[in-house]
Amino acid sequence: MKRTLLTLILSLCVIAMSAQTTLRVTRGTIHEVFNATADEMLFSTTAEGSTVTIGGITYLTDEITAITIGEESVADGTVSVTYLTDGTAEVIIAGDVAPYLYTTVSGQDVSIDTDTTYTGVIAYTLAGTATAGSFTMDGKNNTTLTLNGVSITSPDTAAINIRNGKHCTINVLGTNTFADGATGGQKGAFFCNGHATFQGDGTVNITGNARHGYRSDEYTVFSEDFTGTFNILSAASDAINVQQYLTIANGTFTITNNTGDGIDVGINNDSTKTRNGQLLITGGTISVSATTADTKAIKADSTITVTGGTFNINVTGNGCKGISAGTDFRTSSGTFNLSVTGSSYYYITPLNGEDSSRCQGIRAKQDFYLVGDATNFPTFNINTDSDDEKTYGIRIKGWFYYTAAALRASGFNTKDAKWTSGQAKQVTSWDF
Amino acid sequence: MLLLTALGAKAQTYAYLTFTQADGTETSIAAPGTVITFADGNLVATTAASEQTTIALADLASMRFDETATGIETLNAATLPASTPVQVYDLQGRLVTSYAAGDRRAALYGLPAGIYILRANGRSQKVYVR
Repeated sequence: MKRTLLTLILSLCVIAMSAQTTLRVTRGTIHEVFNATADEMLFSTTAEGSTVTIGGITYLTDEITAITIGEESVADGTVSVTYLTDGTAEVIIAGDVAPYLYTTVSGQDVSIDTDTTYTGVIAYTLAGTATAGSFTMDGKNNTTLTLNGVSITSPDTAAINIRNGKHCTINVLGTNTFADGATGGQKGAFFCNGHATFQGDGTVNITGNARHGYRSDEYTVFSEDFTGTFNILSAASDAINVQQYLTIANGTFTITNNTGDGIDVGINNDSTKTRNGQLLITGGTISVSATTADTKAIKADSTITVTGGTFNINVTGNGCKGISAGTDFRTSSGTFNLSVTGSSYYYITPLNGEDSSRCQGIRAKQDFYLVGDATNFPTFNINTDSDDEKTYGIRIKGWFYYTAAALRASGFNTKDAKWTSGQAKQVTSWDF
Repeated sequence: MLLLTALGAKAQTYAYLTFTQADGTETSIAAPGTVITFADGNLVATTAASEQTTIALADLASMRFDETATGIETLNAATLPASTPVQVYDLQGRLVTSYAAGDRRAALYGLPAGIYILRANGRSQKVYVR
């Protein structure tokens, strides 16, 4: 009886959900799908030609390829972009948000601008392969962006250009590949003007031909729900360049062939921004392999805090740093496998003449905190096989604060560390 | 709960699409599968059964979806042969007038404003006279 009742209810659901007359307005490869209503759709004649108004949009009839009546399932608030093998891109827009979107498609370059009066969330989904295309999205509303096995290569601009400054949740599904044009002025092959949170179990592969691989002008978070892989295959500058702050809670990151830093967290120009310039890592596996002189595998302009995760860093260039904190470096857990094998990097500046940059495993420009207990502590495996006597596994310019249990358990060898302006001091936590 | 969710979705089906011309003439066609295109100043609607309806955009005022056919969807009085007799009824079912299809405009323009039913060849069409 219960099964019969459940079947009946589910059947009613299916009927009710699927039986919706829809009206698809097609202009070239742009399709806007409206749920049919009994409202009048008015025709008119203007100086520009005949028009018809559907779902709040007035179309020139000359621009309409076709209007198709059917029963389509297009969820409200959604936009799907599929890059096609014929060198075009198909865009399907839900009718409820269509009046707020200004969409242009030129070959495989897709640009969607949202009216600034719209405050709802729009969910974009990208799929298919663009060999000469891009995706640009703008507006002042929160968005979600699902990367559903999409590959975008641009000859002259960013592959992904999120100009919208509001929050974007990026859901990674399948394998997704992005490469930008080497001649463009974009900040990254994958650029986000605002702040982004990654989730999903897919893979992202990025090649930054012009500058950075991934760049966000505000914070980026790889959440606990990001169980996927984030690969920077190469970058003309930094592999991952984030302003304000970067949080990594999960995921596998592999960075190779970058000319600049592996991960670089910069300070946002707005000094009121929270966690400005900070890097927080609570989980995940981060591997960086780099050869360029005077770069950092991982760098933040402010505090770096590590409470989990594994670092596999191999940098061979002269003057390189494995991890470099602009202020404090704090750790209570995590595994640090660092190999820093270059010599000093010498350079000349107009004001100071010749100067040098030393290789260091971990550098804290202010204080270094090694905290934890006998069961939860960081582990250091730092190789500084350098002929430079000023190369240290850990270089501290401020104080060295430690808990006794973590110092013992971690295998931290103070002979490998060098601190200059401060002293070593035992504490009970970093909030002492 | 699920039933309430389904009802809340407010899915709606429409069997017919009705075109209203500036003179009040209405033409209903089967909606599912219909494709509308525009060419040479005309709207061309092709139903799933490949039946075509062509209306000059200059004459077209609006279109809308209708849930029920009400038995008046199949006649297009504007396209009947000129000699076809057409009867005009008011909504009370009273015969108001009749005319040959070729005299449609003159016959309809003489009527008071309102809604009428045109019948010809056993089929019907609802029209507005403004």
